Amino acid sequence: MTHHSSIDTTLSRLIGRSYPLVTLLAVILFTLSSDLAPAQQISNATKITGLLHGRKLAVGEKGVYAIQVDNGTLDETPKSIEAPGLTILYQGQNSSIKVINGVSSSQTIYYYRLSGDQEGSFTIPVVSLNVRGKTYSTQAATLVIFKRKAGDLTLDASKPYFLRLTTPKTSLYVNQIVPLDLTAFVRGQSSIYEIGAPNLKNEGLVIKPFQRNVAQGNLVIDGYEYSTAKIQGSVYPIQPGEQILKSAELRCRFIDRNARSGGGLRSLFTQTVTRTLQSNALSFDVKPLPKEGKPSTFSGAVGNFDMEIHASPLKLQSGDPISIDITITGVGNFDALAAPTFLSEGSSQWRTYEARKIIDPNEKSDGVLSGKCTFTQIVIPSGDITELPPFEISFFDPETEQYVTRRSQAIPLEIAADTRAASAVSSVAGGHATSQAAVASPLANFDDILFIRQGKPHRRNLQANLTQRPSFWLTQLVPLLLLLWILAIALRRFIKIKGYGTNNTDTSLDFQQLRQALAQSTSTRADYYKNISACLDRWQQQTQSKPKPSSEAITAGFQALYSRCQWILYGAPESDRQAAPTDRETSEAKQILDTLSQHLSAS
Amino acid sequence: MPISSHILISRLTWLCLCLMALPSFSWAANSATIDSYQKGNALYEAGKYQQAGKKYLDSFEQGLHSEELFYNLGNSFFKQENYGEASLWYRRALVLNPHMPEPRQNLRALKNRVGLLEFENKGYLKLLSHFRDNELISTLTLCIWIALLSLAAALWVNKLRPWRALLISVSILFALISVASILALKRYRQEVSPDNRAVITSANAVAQTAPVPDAKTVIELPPGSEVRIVTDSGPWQYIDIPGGIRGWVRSEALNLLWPPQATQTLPDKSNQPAG
Repeated sequence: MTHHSSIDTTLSRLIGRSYPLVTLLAVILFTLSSDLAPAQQISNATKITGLLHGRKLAVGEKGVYAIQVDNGTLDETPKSIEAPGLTILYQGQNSSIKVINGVSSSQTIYYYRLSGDQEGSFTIPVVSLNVRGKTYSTQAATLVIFKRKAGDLTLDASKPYFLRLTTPKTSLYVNQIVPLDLTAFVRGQSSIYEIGAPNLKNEGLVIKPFQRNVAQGNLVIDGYEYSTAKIQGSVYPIQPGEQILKSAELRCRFIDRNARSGGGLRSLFTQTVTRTLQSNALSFDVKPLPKEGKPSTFSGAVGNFDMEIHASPLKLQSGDPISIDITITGVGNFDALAAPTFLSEGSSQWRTYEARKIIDPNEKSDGVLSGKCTFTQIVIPSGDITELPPFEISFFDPETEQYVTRRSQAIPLEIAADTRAASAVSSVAGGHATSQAAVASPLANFDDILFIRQGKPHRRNLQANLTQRPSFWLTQLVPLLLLLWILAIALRRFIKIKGYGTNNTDTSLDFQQLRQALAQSTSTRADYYKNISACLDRWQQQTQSKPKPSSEAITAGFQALYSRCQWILYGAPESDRQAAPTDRETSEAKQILDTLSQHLSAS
Repeated sequence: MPISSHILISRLTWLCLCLMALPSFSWAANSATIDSYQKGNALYEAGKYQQAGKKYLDSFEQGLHSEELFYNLGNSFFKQENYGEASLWYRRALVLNPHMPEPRQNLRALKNRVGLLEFENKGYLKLLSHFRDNELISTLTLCIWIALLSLAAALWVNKLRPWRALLISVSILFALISVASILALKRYRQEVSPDNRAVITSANAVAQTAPVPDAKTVIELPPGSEVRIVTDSGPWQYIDIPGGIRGWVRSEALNLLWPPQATQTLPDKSNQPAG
């Protein structure tokens, strides 16, 4: 209190009593930063403590042993600590000073790296050390050194956070499903805030998706309290031999209590960090399914299943479909479960359709919990049938290590003759109703290959790429020539139009002279309209600088005659072009040209 | 004397037909190759699969390229329990004739027996797998020409002016088909084309994480498995494996699917054993 009071007085003097708000702010700032300021008053109580991080350590792994000195520093720091069976070597030190209610205290921690090469229980002895000439002693501590096996999941309390991948069983058969748990451990109560989706790498293993719900809890490991977050999934191998499930990665947001808060205002709020945790790997010893005693209906299912069948309708006409729901319950791998085999003795009397498989997402088996799956199948009976034949399912039970076959009971049916078919047949066969054998769809068997193909083989050209064949490029010449031909026609017309226009510009005759000369050139329609076109062009040139014709009839006449010229010169068939112009054409053209002439004279 | 347009078109059509008929002259039957093939069939029927296989290979080396030959060759390898080569020749038969059902069925039997890995073509890739590269190129070329000629005719042939709208519509339609064909061809060459595909023929092949002998195993590759070559780096091939996996495999552990060769197709650039 003395310390704070003296500082208050100093600040008040500096900034004056007329600024109470500023004074208050200054006091708050000083309070927040006070733990960084040098100690003004240090407690005299010196204490030495030996700290062991975790009570168990694996052979070859590194642990931490620390000596904490309160209110003092060692006169001489030992470079190693002698302990039978253990190696303890000095690594470094860390000092801090705290001021609480004006009382300062200092703390220095000396860190030592700890390791052991042999299994057993070892004691770190009492260590006597001098502080300011006075001798203090640590307490003795016991440490268990153990040998970690491959895949050993012993929890490691020496780490502030870690991830563990666990499964209850690592010796499996092919297709045998087992639970797979991924658990994040973070030191401290309620430390885990959020976890992301796990990332697992596998070889020869199928990992079922992890459940979305996270089971959170607390666990004490070697005296340390940990928060845990567990997600559950399942896994099954598809290949025999040793299969490695590589370490999983999980992104996790949690409170890192080891991280320094920085003091001041920041220490008032909870600080979280996001880290990607990496788990241990798992090794599975996968055995192949035994070949002996394998039933003919076995299709790879591993587990222990029960079968229940429900069919409807049971009273029907021949040719009507029967819907069969086969419910499979039990513990095991439902992925590898194929539809039960329909044991129809006279397959020609049944038409069967492929069964539809539905795995209940709420009842998935992970190898421990029971699951449920439903197959829906349609079968159509025909002929003289009294019962629905049984269904059979075979699986390998990994617990008894034997194949098991389950067979349903035959279900009695009441099938009346198909009157529709009978009437259809009777209409064709003169009133004699006969039963028709339905076409069955037998299951294909791919156990062996088909025989060779005989007869004359079809020869094929092996030239892989068509563009490498000369004939391909020769063939491309045809459409190319066609395209060039069209382009040539277009070019020729363009030149013709261009040339014609140039000749007209050069002519020295005016519109009236051209009009008078028109009467003398009436050999072919092409020549006639060529002259008219020249005449119109000339008229257009001569009237360019003059007012536009007020009468629409003049413009319309000009356009009509001009369009006709274009059609005859460039669009009309050759026979039309070579014919002589008719009297009607000449009189119409003359009439329009006269009108144009009058307009030219008037303007 | 100028040639009228319909005469020119008829002459060009004849020229086109003649050019298209040119390759057929090279399809003349060769009796020697057929003899080897028939002898191979007789030996197969007698249960002498190894000798039958040799006759088939003779026939192949003499120039007979036929889906029936490739399929029978696959059968002879299957009977000798050389499942990798059997798968290779079945797949080659399917390249020649994608509609041939027998090799497809035998590949299923092979899959049941050795658990080989195969790429699964879904959606339109499945449709594309029924075509050959050349068929797609032909379609593309035809569509491009129709689009170009329709456009040219619509713009510059006066006699076709009444159908100008129709011709431009046809041109746009075929231009769109051409673009779709180009995209399909590109995807085909990436995913379906046999040119970059290979088949595992070694019995103990494994895909590894790196092109070094002591690298870790990614996955075991059963014989007959289908892979796609991403990078050829001499003694090692970087491959795409069905299931979205990649890895390195020794070159001598696999054979290129296409073009077919009787000997092991990839050059032996190292003397180290497969896998």
